[in-house]
Amino acid sequence: MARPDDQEFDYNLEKVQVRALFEEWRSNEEGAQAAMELLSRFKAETSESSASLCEQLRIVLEPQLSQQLQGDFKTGKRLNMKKVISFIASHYRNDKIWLRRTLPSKRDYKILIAIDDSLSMKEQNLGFFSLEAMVTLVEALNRLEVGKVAVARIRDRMELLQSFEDNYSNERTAFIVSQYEFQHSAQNSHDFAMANFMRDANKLLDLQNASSQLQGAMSCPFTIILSDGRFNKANALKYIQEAQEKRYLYIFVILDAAAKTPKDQKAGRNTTGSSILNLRSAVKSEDGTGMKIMPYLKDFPFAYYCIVSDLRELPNALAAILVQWFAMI
Amino acid sequence: MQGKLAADNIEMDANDLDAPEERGQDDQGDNEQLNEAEDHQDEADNDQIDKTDKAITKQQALQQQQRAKNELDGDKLSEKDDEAMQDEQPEIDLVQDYQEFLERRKEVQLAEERNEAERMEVD
Repeated sequence: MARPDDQEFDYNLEKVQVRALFEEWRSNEEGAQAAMELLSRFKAETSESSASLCEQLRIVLEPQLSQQLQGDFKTGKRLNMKKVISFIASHYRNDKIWLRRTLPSKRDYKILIAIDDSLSMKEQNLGFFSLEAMVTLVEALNRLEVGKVAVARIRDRMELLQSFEDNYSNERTAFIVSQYEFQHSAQNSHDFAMANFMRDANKLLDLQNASSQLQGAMSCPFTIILSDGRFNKANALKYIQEAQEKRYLYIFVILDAAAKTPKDQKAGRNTTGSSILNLRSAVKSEDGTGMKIMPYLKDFPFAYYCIVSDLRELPNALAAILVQWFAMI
Repeated sequence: MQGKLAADNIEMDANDLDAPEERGQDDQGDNEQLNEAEDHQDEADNDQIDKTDKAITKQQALQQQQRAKNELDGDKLSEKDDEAMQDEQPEIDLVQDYQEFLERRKEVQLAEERNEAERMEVD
């Protein structure tokens, strides 16, 4: 499934590969059964958060497509038969007998959810946490009938696990859950994985934008990234700027469950040192003569990011970012 | 009884005392018989050798077949061994892992709440 980093992103090829992978996964009944069981546990654990997120997004993500016929118009798409009698009785004077599609009632967003599948996620004890967040998102977006949702994993580049054309189902979500290992580690993955992902995701959003424009629909594709936030910021910056120029929204959810164990708690040990808030990075000083240490998040390249250490914080954090974004556009 | 034996001896002697020409003819006849006998013997020997060769070939073939079978069985056994080894390796039960993760998280939350309560008391 993995392709060379420099190979151009081919959406159709990815779709074919994902379908083949899904069929292969389905043929292994035992594995599929285990994944379904794990998914049901995730759902039970995240039902509250997903319901909350769904309600928050219902307010923020407004419907775009008009489907229902309403109103009294002199011209329109369909006749209101109730009005026809009064139209005849009034000697053809009450002629507002037509219905039109005026109020938008359906959402048609295209949302890409991507999870960092690197070893660092496991090291930060974020594997299950990120999957819980992903299940929360997928369930909430499905309940809201938000449009089309694609899911990908970030290894050396973007690897699709569900394309925009694939429909939601329990089985497919279980398949997605089973595809994350959080063990990927390559020589340059820290430096280039996020940059390669951004390049591929921009390409995918370009394609979705183009197809929406062809259909005459309003396109609002956006991406939600779930990661520990540790990557080479300088390499990814070029593609993040490209996304900003194209007005693509990337919401970076930094998962930051500080690695605390009950033993640490009992011993009163402070283990919050592993938190991204305490992470520092060395950068060249402005005069170029030396190096200086500064907080890692100070020059974080994503404009819209939030730090989530508890799943219950996710709905509010996402909603706040989306409100900001839609207020801006 | 003695008289009969004597007559046999006389007959034998008479055969021995054949004329040289007749003896040559007889010799030729004997040679032909010998040759024939030798041919028969050769044929029999050849047949025997052929049979032995065939038997050896058959045996070798059987041995080879057996060896191949053993190898195959060995492979199968090694495969079985590998499978058994794999079976012996602890399988990663994600559901169990997740359950432990949830319990651990709950414990951490409880401990945090307890610490917070203690801190409040001290304050």
